[in-house]
Amino acid sequence: MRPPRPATWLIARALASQEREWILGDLEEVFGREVVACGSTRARLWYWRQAISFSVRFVRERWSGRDAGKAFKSGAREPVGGLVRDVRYALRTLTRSPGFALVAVVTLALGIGANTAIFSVVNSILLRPLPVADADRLVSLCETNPAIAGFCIASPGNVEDWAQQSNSFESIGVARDWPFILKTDEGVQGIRGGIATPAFFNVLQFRPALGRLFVPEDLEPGNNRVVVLSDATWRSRFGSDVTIVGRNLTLGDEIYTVIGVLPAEAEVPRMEGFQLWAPLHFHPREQGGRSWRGFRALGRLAAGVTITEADAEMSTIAVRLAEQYPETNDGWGIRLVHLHEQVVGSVRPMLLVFLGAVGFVLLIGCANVANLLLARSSGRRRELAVRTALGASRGRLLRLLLSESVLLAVAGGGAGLLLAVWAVSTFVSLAPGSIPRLDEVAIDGRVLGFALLVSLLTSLVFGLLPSLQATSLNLNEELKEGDRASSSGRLGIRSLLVVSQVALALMLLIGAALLTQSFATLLRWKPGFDQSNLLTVWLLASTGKYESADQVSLVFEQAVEEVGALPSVESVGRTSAGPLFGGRETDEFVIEGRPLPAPGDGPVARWFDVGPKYFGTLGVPLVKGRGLEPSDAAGMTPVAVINESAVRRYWPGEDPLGQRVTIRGETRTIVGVVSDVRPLRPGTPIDPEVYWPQAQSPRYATFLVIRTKTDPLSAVEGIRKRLQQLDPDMRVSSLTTLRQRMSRELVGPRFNMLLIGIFASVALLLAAVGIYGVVAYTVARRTREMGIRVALGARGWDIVRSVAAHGMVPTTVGLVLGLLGAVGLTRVLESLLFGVSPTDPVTFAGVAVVLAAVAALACYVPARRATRVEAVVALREE
Amino acid sequence: MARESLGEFEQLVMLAILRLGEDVYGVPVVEEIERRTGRGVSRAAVYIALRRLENKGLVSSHMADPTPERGGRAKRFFRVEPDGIDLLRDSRLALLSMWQDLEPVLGGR
Repeated sequence: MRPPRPATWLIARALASQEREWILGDLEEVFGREVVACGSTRARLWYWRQAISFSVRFVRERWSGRDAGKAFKSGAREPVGGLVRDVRYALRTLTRSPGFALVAVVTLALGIGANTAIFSVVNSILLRPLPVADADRLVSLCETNPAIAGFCIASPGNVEDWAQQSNSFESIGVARDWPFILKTDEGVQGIRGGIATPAFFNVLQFRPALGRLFVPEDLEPGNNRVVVLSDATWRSRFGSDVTIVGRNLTLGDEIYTVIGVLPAEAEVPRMEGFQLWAPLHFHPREQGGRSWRGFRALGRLAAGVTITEADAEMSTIAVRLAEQYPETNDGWGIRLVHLHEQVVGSVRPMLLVFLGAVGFVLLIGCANVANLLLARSSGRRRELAVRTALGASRGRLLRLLLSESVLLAVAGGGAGLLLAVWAVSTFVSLAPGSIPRLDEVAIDGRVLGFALLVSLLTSLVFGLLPSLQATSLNLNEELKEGDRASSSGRLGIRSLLVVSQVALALMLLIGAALLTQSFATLLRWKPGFDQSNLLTVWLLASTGKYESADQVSLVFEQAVEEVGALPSVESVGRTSAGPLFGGRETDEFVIEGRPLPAPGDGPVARWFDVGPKYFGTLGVPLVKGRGLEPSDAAGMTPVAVINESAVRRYWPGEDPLGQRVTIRGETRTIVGVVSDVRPLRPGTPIDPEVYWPQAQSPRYATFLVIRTKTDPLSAVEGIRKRLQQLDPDMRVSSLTTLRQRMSRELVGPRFNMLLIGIFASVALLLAAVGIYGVVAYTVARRTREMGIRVALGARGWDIVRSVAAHGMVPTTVGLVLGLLGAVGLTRVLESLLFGVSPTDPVTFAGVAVVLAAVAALACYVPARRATRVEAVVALREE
Repeated sequence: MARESLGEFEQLVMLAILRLGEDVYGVPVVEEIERRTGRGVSRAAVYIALRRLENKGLVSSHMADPTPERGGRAKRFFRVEPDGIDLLRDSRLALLSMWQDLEPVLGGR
């Protein structure tokens, strides 16, 4: 029997950590004896008494010890006591004006909360290392060639040589995604899987949770029908069966043996959620292993080696390999990228823009709180003057006022943190799924530290100026004039605050306007064909079921016929890729009759293999010659159709029809030209494209493009059923409408636009409040002067003008500064903008006019009040 | 350097350690004091005294191996250092000299 746990916990709290073990041991020993002697109830009671006694005595001991230590340093005690007094005083003054405190805390909470939330996103995605061992040593190795700029690919054969010849890496492995079809008694299911070399898991330092991972022998033909399951698959599909190792699975038409299970945390960055892994089904050294650059290579740098050193070594190796294997490697270089950079690099500009935007919002909010404090402190000048007269030093007063700011900031920070918790979860649920590491976003110690730091910095930003201002007083004048003392300097600071608010708000608004325009451009996409009533579906034939790809091609053609015969369907075509659904396959080609270009300098095109009805179904008009016909079958003259962009680029002023090009090892005669499909993102160059008949280059997978007669969504089920009837083993996936694909593309831009839009709106509101505050303050201070002027016959408009100038002059300065700042700053938005220039003059001017109008309104409202001042009332106030 | 004086309770704790000899840890120290003085002793006070004595360098201690009957927790064994013995001797002498000639007044057993 053990002592009661809560009591033990209590005692442990009271003890120093090095005392816990043996004192708790002693007590437990006696407790055991008490149980034997008096029974468990009395023993427990005894133990609880001990708990109380230990807590009281040890805590008292701790405090008396601390006091004893401090007793000799009385000098250091004073400021601490003084600070406590200041904070207490500040607390009292703030609770006496709860309205002011509330407005200030809410403003700060919004600013700090938004900053904390965005920082926690930035922290989790950009700053924290990837959740793999020694993540900073992981590097992606990419083969480079002008034809595939921007891609990061590698071939298993080359990677094998890199690993062997380099000293910079501990290991280098390759992997790629690989669709599997799992056959069970319940039916056929598509499985998202991958194939990898044994070294790939070594690079990531994965250890098996069960069984083993791949070893080099698994690459040998005959040995490679083995799989490693992911933890999720093992749990969901195999009920966490611990005897799974050694079991057989039917994948496609092959039997694979399960050799191991990965632990739950073993996720490959950018290949998350793969359900199972198999070794490469060919040896990297085999024929073709060097030219098939469809893989991802990852390496673990050897200890102490930098990426620059590794890069230098790998470049030499690439040159060597190009000499050794000119037919596959000529013109190919190598580039290293930190894995972290590869994973998050694409979202860095966007996240930093968000962070900058919330920073602006916080600064604008600070300016407002500073304004409030200024207004308050001018009401307190008399109090401060009295304090000075009684002998308080300037530093003492400064501390008094600053502790008020700190208190506000800490309260705002606390509330902001709560807001951030909510905002982070909202961000994660609304953010586009294309943002990497979203599931890792969380508030951690670093975020808490950030919130605290921002709160304290904030208190300095909004507190220091007003405090300095308030404590620099002319004693004589203050005591004499009391609350009425006017100071042009204070107005100067207020104007300065308005200038900065307007400038910051303008930059944010311009950013938001640019993103909105860019989004609108995407919405107006005119690809050159009718987007309505279009469906796409991806078909993958079961390997092993058909003798050859030619047979698969026949089945696909049959699918086209049968789906086309459905009453809801107008027409069907097939293709390897298309607009918004792939089409990243790019290659160099050779034009017959022209001099051979240097390797890497030849013409480049995206290529597609398509069925005869593809262009017709999509609605891409034929410009010249003929389209692809059913007669362009296997064994007939190889033909190709190109797009207008290819003509412009490679046959300017020439007739391409009848010309022959060699691409992917086949010489084809150009028989037609189709019009360009304009890309979704305007400004993206239209790539030259080459299309050839699927029948002449059959594969195991294809897209069907289906034009329906009515609402495409209502046709989905009928199409799926028909395809499953045709071949139950065929994998049918990604059955979506083109409109759905389109809206998926828009998630990211829409999210950016909304987020920046929200920040900009808050900024606009805060800035308007700030301008209003300044003008209202001026009106209040100049009531007497207004009264006299009205009495002397000034017209209302003159008064409005003279008062509003206090708001509009700094606004104008702010607008000018903001426009200049925006010219410099919107450049960071460049990668997020489509179809609009980051310095679009119309946007700049339009936003400035809007902001000026809002500012004018914010000035007019209080200025109007000034004209209603009655001379008598104003003068009587004296 | 003037020697620190010892509190009564601290003396009791050190004397108990000396009486018990080897392998002395918290539990027997408490029991020894209770048995000899006939009074209940607060365990917390004994441990605080041990902590203070060790801080002053008058006793030293070391951890023993964990034993199963105490929830697997190890014991800490204490022994009195020469400085502690010197101090005990001093206070004994001081007390004895103060007691001298007072037996008739205060009586004794």
